[in-house]
Amino acid sequence: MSWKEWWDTLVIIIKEGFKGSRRYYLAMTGLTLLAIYGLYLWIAIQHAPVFLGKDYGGLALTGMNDSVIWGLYISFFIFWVGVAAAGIAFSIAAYVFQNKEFMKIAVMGEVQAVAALIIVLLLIVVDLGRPIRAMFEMPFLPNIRSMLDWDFIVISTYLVLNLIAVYVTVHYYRQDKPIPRRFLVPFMVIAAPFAIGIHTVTAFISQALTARPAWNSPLLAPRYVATAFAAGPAALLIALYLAEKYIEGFHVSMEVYKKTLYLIAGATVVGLYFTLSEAHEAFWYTTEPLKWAQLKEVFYGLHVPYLAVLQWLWIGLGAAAVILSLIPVTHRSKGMIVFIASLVFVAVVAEKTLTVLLPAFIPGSLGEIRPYHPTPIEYGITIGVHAIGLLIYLWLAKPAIKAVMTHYFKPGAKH
Amino acid sequence: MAELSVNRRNNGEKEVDVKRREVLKLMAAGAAITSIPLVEKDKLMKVLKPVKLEGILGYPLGGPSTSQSALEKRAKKKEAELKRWCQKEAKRICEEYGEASEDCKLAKQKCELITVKATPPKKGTRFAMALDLNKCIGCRRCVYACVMENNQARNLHIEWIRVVEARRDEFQDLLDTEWYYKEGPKKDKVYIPIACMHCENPPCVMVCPVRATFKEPDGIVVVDYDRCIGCRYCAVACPYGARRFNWKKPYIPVQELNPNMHILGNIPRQVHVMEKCTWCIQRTRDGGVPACVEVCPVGARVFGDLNDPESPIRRIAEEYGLFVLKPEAGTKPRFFYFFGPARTPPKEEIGEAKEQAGGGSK
Repeated sequence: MSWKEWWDTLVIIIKEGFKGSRRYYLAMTGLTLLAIYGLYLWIAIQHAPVFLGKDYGGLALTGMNDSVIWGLYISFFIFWVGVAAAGIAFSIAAYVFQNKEFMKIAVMGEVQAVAALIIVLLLIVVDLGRPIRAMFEMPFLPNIRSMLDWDFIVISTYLVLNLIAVYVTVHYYRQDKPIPRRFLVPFMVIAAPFAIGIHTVTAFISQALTARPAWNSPLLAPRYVATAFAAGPAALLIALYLAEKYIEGFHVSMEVYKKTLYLIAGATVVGLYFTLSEAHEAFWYTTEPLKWAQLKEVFYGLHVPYLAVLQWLWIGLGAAAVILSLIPVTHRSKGMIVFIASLVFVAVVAEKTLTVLLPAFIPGSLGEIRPYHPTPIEYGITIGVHAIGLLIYLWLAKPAIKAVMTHYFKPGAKH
Repeated sequence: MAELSVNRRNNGEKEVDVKRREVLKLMAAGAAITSIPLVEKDKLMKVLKPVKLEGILGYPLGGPSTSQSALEKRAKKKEAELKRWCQKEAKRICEEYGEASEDCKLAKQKCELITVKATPPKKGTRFAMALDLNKCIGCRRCVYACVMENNQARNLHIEWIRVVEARRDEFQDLLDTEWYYKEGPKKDKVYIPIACMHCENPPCVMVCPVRATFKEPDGIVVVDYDRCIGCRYCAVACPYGARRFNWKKPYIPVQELNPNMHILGNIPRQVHVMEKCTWCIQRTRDGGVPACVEVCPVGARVFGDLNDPESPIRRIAEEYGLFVLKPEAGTKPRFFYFFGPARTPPKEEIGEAKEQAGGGSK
């Protein structure tokens, strides 16, 4: 092992981003344009008074106000933390249980985690009123009682861990060598708790606040983690299915699909069970007026109708996906499994974005009701951030798959 | 002393009074006596040691901590900055309305008056405020006084105090209150002004990721506007909805500026920072009372030092008892409500006056 080889790996990873078919270039160009537009909206319009000292602009352009204090950005932040957390699930399956089929695709989970974490960090940055101040002050003036600092620490550590994992995997596999155990064992020991940790700490940000009864329940963190283990693997299955379709010679075993489906279905059942538990608390006994009002908002959508639509979409699609996955016929084709995975993905997007965030603010802590509707600039910036995440995903996934194919899919060999 | 003064004779010649000569002699003798212990001073210094005032007080003369001087420096810098900005604005106003106009004169005057203080908390002070729910008529004058006093952005409609109207007979929960009532007072309604509670155990301080908001030793919870990163976590954590965010670049006409400023209180805010009630830190730290207390036409608000047995707040506590909003939040507010002596009931209800009275009788 020499430094030269490690350097070469880095060069290969970077170079790989510029190679590809016409379709790849088209996708990359499109995503870059979206990303630039999002950045423009953020720097020159939403944050114009901060960055450019202009009189116009400001966070007032978003749908947020003093009642609904957090909005679309933070809701998608919560969702993508979940997707990132689930990335490590595949590494555990692969390296701890030494499952060869999962070892082939474990790196894809890590690539997904890297992309998701970049989206997560960017969503925080675009939501911050004064991001440059934060960059200097967070490291020098931390408040150890603030969950936000802890969240920042675990998320950035987990991002570094996943970057290392992707890098090491590409490095060994491209030379057709197995990943050494002396790297894998300590890595798994450190990374696995962080995977659960990022989503747990994200839930801890909100669950201990007495000001927000809708969140103030120890169920919040388990609920976050449960649906994370539904959405993350679902996203991975969809990505693998597309990779199989578009990359020649890349093949994923049916075993991976089936076992992942079990995980997704199980996690969805747990998630639905938690929703039931929450509904029971709200509709059966609760004597806390504010909590009751907030949960009523989720289930009935009295002032923000789309909230109820999202909530029932989660319950409906989640239940449908679980029922479908119980029918043996669906386990026979990859297409059917991926269809169920897509259902779960949409269901969890419905469950974990605005549905989890908004009830805490509508009605607010003093009973004020101000409906929240994201504005075009919020959508634009959110899309731009997601474009950056996808760009990074595509960029890293290509060398990763190529390295995996060098190691596992030798020409002429039987898969 | 008139006899001792120099007498002027008609010929202009000065002559010293006899009595004055005697006094001078006495003084010389006195000086001779007092000079004896001075000679002995060096010997006495072996047993007597000098002490400094700081050592007796237990804190430096500048304030309770050394970091205060840094704040003072920052305040001076801010003052110069604000004066420059103010003069620029004043110039613009003078060009627009003419040199002789009232606005121009007012703006120029305000610019000269600007002072940014960094008055430190006084040792042993513990501020608290109480509000008489039997007296409050919901006129919202405290809200307007607060806006004028604290230089809130006029373009953002930021109001630190929120007055909610609730039903007197069937009051259930804050959820049923009316925020945007148009007229009052009504006899079947009760008005509850809500602002920062300056909690003993403030959740906003706990959650701030950069320690930009903190509780001062005298009980005032403040925001450092130069440190706030605008994550709005504190507003999420506040059970009283007391925090306001500058969602846009704040604008305040120079003519309406309150030139008496405190660096942690009412200096004009920046864009994307959090702000909240500071109990008029610029007044109370110098011995005054908050603007809302001063302006209240029915005298419903009481402000004072909890540690001072003579303060009005102590009398309220002893005579009427204190009540807090949302005790279940566990924040231990230092803003109290109480039910003072019953207000004069309307004529036709004079019979049920006793029932209308609050917890006045103790």
